[in-house]
Amino acid sequence: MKIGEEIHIILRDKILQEEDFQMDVEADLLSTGVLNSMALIRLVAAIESKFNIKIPPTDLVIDNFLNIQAIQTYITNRLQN
Amino acid sequence: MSSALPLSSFQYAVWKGQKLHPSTPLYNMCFTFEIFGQLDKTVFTRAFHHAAKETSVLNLVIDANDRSVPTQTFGKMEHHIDYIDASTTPDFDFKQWIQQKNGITFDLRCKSYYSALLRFGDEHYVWYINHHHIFNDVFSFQLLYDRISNRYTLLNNLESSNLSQESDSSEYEKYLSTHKSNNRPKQLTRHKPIKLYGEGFSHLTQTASKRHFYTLKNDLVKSIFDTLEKHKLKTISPNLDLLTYLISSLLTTLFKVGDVGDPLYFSNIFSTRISPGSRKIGQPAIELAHSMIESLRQLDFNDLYQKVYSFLVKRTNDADNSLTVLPAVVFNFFDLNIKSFSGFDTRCQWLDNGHVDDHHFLRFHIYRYNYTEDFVLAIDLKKGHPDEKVADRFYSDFTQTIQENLLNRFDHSISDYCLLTPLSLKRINQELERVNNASLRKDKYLMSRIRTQLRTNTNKTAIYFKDEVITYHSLTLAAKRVTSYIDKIRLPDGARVVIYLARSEKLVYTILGTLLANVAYVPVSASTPIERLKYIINDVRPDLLIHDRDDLEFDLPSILFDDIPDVHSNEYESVHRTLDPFYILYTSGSTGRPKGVPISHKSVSNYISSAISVYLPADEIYHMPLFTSIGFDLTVSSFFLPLATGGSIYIYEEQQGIDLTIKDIVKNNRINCFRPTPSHLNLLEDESINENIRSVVTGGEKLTRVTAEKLHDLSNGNLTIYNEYGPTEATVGCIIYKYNPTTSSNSMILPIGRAMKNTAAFVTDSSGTPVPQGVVGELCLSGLGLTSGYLNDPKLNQEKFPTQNSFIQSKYYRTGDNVRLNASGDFEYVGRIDNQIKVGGFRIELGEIEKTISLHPTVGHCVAVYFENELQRGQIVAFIQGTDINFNKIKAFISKYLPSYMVPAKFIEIDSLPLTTNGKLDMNKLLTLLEAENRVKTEPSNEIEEVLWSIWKEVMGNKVLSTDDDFFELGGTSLDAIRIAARLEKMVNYELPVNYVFEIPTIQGLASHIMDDMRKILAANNSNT
Repeated sequence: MKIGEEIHIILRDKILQEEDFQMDVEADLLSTGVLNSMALIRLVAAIESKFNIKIPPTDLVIDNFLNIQAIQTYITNRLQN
Repeated sequence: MSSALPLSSFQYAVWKGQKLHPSTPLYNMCFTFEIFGQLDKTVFTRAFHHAAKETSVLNLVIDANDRSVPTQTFGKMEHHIDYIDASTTPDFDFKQWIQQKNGITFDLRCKSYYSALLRFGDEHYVWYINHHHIFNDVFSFQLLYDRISNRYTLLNNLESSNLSQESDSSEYEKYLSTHKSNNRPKQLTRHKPIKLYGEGFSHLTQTASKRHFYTLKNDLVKSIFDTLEKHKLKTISPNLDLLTYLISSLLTTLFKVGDVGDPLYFSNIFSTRISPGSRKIGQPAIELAHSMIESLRQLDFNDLYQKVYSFLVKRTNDADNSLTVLPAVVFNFFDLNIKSFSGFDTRCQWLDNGHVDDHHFLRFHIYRYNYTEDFVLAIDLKKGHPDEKVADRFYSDFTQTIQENLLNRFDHSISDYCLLTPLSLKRINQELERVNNASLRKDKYLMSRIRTQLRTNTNKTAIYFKDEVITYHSLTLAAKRVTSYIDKIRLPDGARVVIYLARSEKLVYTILGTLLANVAYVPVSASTPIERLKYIINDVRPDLLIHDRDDLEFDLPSILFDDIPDVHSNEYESVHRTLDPFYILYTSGSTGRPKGVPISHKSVSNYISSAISVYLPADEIYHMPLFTSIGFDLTVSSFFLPLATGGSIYIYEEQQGIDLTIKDIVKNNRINCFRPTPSHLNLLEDESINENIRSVVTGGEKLTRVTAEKLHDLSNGNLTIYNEYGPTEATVGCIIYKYNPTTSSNSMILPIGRAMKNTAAFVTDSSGTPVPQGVVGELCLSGLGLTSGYLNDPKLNQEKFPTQNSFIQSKYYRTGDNVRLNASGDFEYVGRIDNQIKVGGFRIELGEIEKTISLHPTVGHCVAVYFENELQRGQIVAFIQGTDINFNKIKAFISKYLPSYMVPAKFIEIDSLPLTTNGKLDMNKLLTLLEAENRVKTEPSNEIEEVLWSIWKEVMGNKVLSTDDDFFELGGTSLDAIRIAARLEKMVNYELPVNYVFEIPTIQGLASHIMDDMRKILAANNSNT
């Protein structure tokens, strides 16, 4: 499964728990209020356990978490290095 | 609609807590919303009813009887809100009203809240709500408030009241489905009680608490974000950043000022909504992170920050099931945004209900009601802490930590962080400099005092020994004999004389004579075993040994006291010598060998000079008994205070067995001051103390209040009681406490008091950083009394006598004693850092005992442990592992090296050293072994018991001691049980079901079962044939 889809599933089932959740990969997760700070922490935790990586505070920046696309790029980079 | 719903794990915890304290309003969450405007009472009440019906958490009830697991259901609720016109009620006391309403208890089967609207004036109302925490979190209040406010606006604007009614119950059920507790009932252990500033809380099981309010300024919060940005730690979640920073600072502060345990478990309640749906409903709190922080001391602040961040992130996922230890410290954070009430200005306040969960000691709340406000920092402190200002101190240390870390302490180790203000540090250093540079007038030097007394007191009595009365004149002559001999054999400058003599007049002659020759003496008590004496001789390399043992031979220049020739000093040209050191005293050393402590003339003179005007009023003459070992530096006072003042020494000989000399001493009318250890004093029963004795100075051990009180009574209040503290390394005594029967604090152990003249004392943590007042840490000493260092041990000197560190600029001595500075400015002794113990005032390193026992060829491993009972009387127990152990042989062997007070009272053989999972010595196991040893032992009494005995020993080892030993208490496992059954079958062809070993867990019981069973078999066989 593609990383982007995995993130979508995490958001739908684990974070927001809304069965009909749909989100464009380029839609802004933060300024639209989809993710508040608490939800964001849960998302980080879920990604950490799903992909077995650690996300240090230095990586928890807008560039990496702006939208599903950005998160996918970040995870891909982390998995490759 | 009314189906039973499960409780969330948070709800379950609250439910259990409330069950423990059924009539305490532990979990009442109380808020006031002060509304400034012309509120319509009727519309408000209708708005409240509307909102209440729609809000699940106000409609739920708990369904629980004592047996079943509690559930929650939607009850048929009659909502109600009181209306009180406070402005027309005479003498209405709002504060008292609040207190009463905050304290009501709810029957959760019917209702979980109380609410009221109060009118204080035309444009001044207060909406009050008290809702049980089992159904809400802080956000639920904001939601309820918003709902009432909305309904109020709508109702006010609409002619009719056909508002739609829509309950949020389905959202609530959805919330519960993801937060129900799946693992209950879970066994939770309690965190150990914490201490703050060295003091614990006295009301461990009570819930009473007090909330203290402070502010966390927005400027400070802004600086925190700036600093995080500078260190590239700023994330897209400001709340996460702020939380991480504040929790890191809280933990740092706690580790600096509290005894909180390591690891510390703390709970972090972070109530906010995750999914957009949940943002619209009231719900119980989620207890997010039961974090555990370990070994902070090795971290720098940056590491800690990252660690806390990871904890927060990680624990967010498994929040509801991560609880295993009930936390002692709670960190609570919320950021509300309370808007105006339908256009009226509103002020919100969360009220303190005066209670905390009984396992919570410290709760830290950081919150605000509006995004534009400063954060409130509220500290809930469980009642029972003796320091009334402890919350203020903690707040100030916490904010100092926040600021300190902002100022580029990010990469500094936490152990290097000092909570003392620069001014206090400066004071410590100034004091250190002063005491180390203090000068002593020539006539204050001890030998100059003694020479004056020898010259002026010729006919006065200097020594009482047995029936002899010896004058200063005779003393001078006898001492000169020793001096002349030293001159005659031309001992060089810097020579050392070992003195190995029984307590008698000869001892005084020899010490004085040696000193008059400006030669240092090394006192070794007559009871010291010969091998230990040999070690000391080998280490100190003396030029001469003066002794009274004609049965011994030494391969160094030595002379029997009685053989010292009577010559006149002026027959020889005297050698120029400088008296330095004054004496060298050997104390127990953990490396297995005693260590030599040289004390200079200046040090001993400083001690005598300060003691002389403290123990008795200035210019008084000292008459003291000499009854303690000369190898013990407390004896220095008994010896030199009389000689320095022209008084007398009353010598008591060494005793065999228990030394009851103290009973004679207190009756002696010739003495006015004496120096016992508390152990000596505990031997006193009802002897009244002679009225001539006016002062007693104890030392060498903890002085208990009971002992001091008894002494006070025995002397009819005539006696001034001093408790003196001082390691050999700092010359006899350097901290002193005067006991006052009326005002002395009520702790069981009396304080050791304040630093004596020219001594500086301060407290540091294990890394040498000074700690704030009250905090327990290592006592460090500096000043004129300090030894120059141990003989021949540069490595140990480096460790024990640091010359400076980042905070302290002078050389000091690390005593290895844990102390704290109490509120009245006295030091309190807390305990040893290491394995050193004191028995009867003697310093004993358990390591020295262990190493000596291990020298015996049959011994593999050995641990020596000191067990103390409630009466503060202890015994040393040696646990030995080896082959063919014979305790009598080992005892005889070690008695050659160790003085009798160091020989263990008990020896216990073990198969291996019991270790805890951390690899530390398992003290509880050892204690169990000791208890087993002390128990009455039953040996096997018949053949079957013998067989079982041998099998048990074979399977479970030497810990099997008695036929009534319990299989489980001996640590028996199922594998052991199988082995026992198998061996039994092999040896006696008897088939024992394995579970019988569990069901009948003693040899006795098993044997009688087998016996009965065999009889039955025999009887059956007989009847068959």
